[in-house]
Amino acid sequence: MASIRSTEFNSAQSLEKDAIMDNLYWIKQIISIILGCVAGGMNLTGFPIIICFGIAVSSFSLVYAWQIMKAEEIESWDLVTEAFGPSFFCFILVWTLTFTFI
Amino acid sequence: MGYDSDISLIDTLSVMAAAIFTAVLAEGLSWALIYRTEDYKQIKKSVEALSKQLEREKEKVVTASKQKSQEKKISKTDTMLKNTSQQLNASKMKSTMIIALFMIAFMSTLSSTYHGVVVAKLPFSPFSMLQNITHRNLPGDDSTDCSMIFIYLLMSFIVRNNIQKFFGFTPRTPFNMWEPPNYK
Repeated sequence: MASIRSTEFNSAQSLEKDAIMDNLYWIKQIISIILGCVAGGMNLTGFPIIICFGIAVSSFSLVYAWQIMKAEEIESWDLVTEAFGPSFFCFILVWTLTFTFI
Repeated sequence: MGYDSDISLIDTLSVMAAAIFTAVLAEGLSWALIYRTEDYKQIKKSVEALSKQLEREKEKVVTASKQKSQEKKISKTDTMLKNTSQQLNASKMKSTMIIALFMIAFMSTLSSTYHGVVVAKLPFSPFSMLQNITHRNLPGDDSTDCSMIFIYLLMSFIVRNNIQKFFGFTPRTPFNMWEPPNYK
């Protein structure tokens, strides 16, 4: 009985973690678009902007999971690297386009 | 800096539209040839189940006497996961190559159409290796001039990833290329 309950609890925890990571994926995309628009609109240039983006998005991931969703069991590495590639490229694309045309 | 009147918005939008079109087409072909097959679905389920099992095993707290057997269990599950992931990649191989050939042919055609055309201005100066992509087929030395290939690749990557995520085509796993060393 205890092992069945433990399995159910683990499954529920796992589903919750999946939901949080899914939300984080899409939120990171949206944040990348917003930050890209802001950086391009303000005519910001240079690699420091990319580093600032990395720090901002990573910090947000940790705050979102640990403070807002209270999911402290999720490792920081998983949170930072979730959707890192797509969000980074999204930022670069939006930043480039707004910088070019605005 | 800002808007350069020599850069046509229509050109840039055309490149982005082409990237979206080919990305959607590639994912559609991938779904038809790979993702909807029972083989792929089974292997994907196995990869997800093994990933979760491995995660649970790593999180388990055991006594010192059971430490060695726990490590053996983790190692065995890890090996099974790696083998199953390889099976998954192998099941996609043939179709992926066909799609890749199509993408290369399309991109070559697009590239010759936009030869020498600057489609955007980069807000940073890329390092030399990246300039091979960002400054491809462009005249002059201005490293912030951006060719269609860079915009095409970025747009294509973003669209394909989001389609795969939205429809759940690829397995959810906590393991990825960003895995740090000594990951517990």
